[in-house]
Amino acid sequence: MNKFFLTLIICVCAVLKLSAQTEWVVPAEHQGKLSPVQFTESMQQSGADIFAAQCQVCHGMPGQGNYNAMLVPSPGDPAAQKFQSNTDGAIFYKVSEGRATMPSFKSALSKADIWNVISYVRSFNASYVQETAEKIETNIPEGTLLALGLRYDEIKKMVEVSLTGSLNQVTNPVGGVGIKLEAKRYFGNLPLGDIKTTNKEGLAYFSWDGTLPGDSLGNVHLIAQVEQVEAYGEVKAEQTLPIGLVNDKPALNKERAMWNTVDKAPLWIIFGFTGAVATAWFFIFYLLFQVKRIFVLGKEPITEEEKII
Amino acid sequence: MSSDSRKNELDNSKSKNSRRDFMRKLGLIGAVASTGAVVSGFTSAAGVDEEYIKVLTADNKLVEIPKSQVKKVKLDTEVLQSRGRIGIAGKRWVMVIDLAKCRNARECIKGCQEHHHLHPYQYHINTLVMQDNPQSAPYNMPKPCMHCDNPPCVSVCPVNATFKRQDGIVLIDNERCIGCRFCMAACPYSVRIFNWEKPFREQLYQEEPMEYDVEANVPQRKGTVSKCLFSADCLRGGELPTCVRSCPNGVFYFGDQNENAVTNGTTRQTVVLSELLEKNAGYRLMEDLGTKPRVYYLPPKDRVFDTPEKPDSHHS
Repeated sequence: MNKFFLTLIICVCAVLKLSAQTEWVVPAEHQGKLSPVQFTESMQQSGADIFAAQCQVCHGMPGQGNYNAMLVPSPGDPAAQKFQSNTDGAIFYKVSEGRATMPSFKSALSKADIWNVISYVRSFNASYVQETAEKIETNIPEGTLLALGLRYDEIKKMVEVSLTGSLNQVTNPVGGVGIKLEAKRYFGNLPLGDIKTTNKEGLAYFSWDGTLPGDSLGNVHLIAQVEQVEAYGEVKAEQTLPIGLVNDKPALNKERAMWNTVDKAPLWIIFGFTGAVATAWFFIFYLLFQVKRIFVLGKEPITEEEKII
Repeated sequence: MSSDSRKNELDNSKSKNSRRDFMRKLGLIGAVASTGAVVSGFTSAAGVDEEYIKVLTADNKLVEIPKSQVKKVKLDTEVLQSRGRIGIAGKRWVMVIDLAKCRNARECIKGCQEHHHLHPYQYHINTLVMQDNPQSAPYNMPKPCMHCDNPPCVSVCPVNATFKRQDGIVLIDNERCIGCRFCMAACPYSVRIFNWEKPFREQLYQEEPMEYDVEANVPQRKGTVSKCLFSADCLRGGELPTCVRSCPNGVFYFGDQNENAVTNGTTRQTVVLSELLEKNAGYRLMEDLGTKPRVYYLPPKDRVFDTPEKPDSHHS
């Protein structure tokens, strides 16, 4: 009997440990996050498209349970009870942050895209009732038109981002707003440093060491954005500044090499080959010339004295 | 007109229609149609009952044109060949493969085979199960073409069919290839494949004849060599290579070494290339051969397979 209890306790512990491992803890401040807008049919539709392109490979079709069971931790069916018991905020956090085999989608999808996916996933839950977020309180009066400015401060050796708000044709600097700075690269934007908050003068400074590669003239395309899009809306400033490293790297097929085209072959090959061909032809012509000389000699009349026999 | 069509390449070879492709096509149609409108002296007042459609021109202007004026333009092989040989100026493409993340989903392979019209047994990219020694755990390793800076395959080509471009991509021109397979023998990474049979999409080529695009190796040709192309046709439009985009696990990073930045195909996060390689101890395959590959690997930190209890006799 004791043995039975011992086995039972071990089994329970094992199950608890397993469940503790697969439990994905979402920080409390993210749990309660809500969509700023009510889910609509068009949101669901666009969410379905995103789901098919990005999520279906691992999660399968919602409601059909055809997710990839090989993965650890298991991705699970989005229509299942376990998945649907997550709050909207928890799903948002998990999609944007990711863990282990679940990739982070915070750069791949915009916040609106993630809400669209959530609205699509929620459409498989008949008992779901949506709550929307209340309007976020900001430190600026309503109706203020925000504008960002971007320039390089030569003296401070820093990139200066200025945020101003205009209300009733009066423009004032706006402080206490998070700003992020990015550099445009060929396939996406590269974040430069952490998010900086604007000071009383509405200015945020990003240190600049000049090591970021630019184009052939050293131009870098910079993008400054207000971080809290939900509160302030999309405020953006773009500027091309000649403050990057000059890209003077030559083309990869510029050098002479064995693998390059004929005109870019190594000089020793060009001269060696041409020399060898020239030598061979010279020898052939030399022989022919000699044969011709013998032939001409044979035609010459021979005097009686020269005849030996 | 021809310069317009050169700017807006219409990619007939791709069976997948992405939004970008759609926009590009629209732009192309727009460029053609607007030129057509000028030639025919068309004004917006004429033909009231005619149906209009909105198109985006090459210089990003939204215009309305009558539907009858719309004509599709195909790029000819000559244009595709010359742009394919020249490459993209000022770029040095580089790929980083994070072995710690590969779970052998094989989506990169599927995407690639669809893009380049390959038979299911043909691989431009393949994932291999690797085991360094009998005591260590195996791991998955995707293996595309390394696009070497000192490519032995290009050196041995007798007809200049395979070549290296200024942006680092090693391509093969199936129109020039004589099928000698010297390049396959020379490649130390065994990444080249030979078309022994009729192309997989033979029927499609017969139904819809298409121009040969050297940047996609499409249409494929029997009796010639094919290889990974870093999806050179996608790069032109600012799109990541197909395998990079298809991966669900965030294995692939791709970018420009001159910009010192690579973008992850799954998470779309852009990171600094030199930092990524330095922090994760990036390495290249068979570096001692001096081939200078353009593909970097990050070591397999978290392996999916368990360490074998007994040494595997097969590998020892």
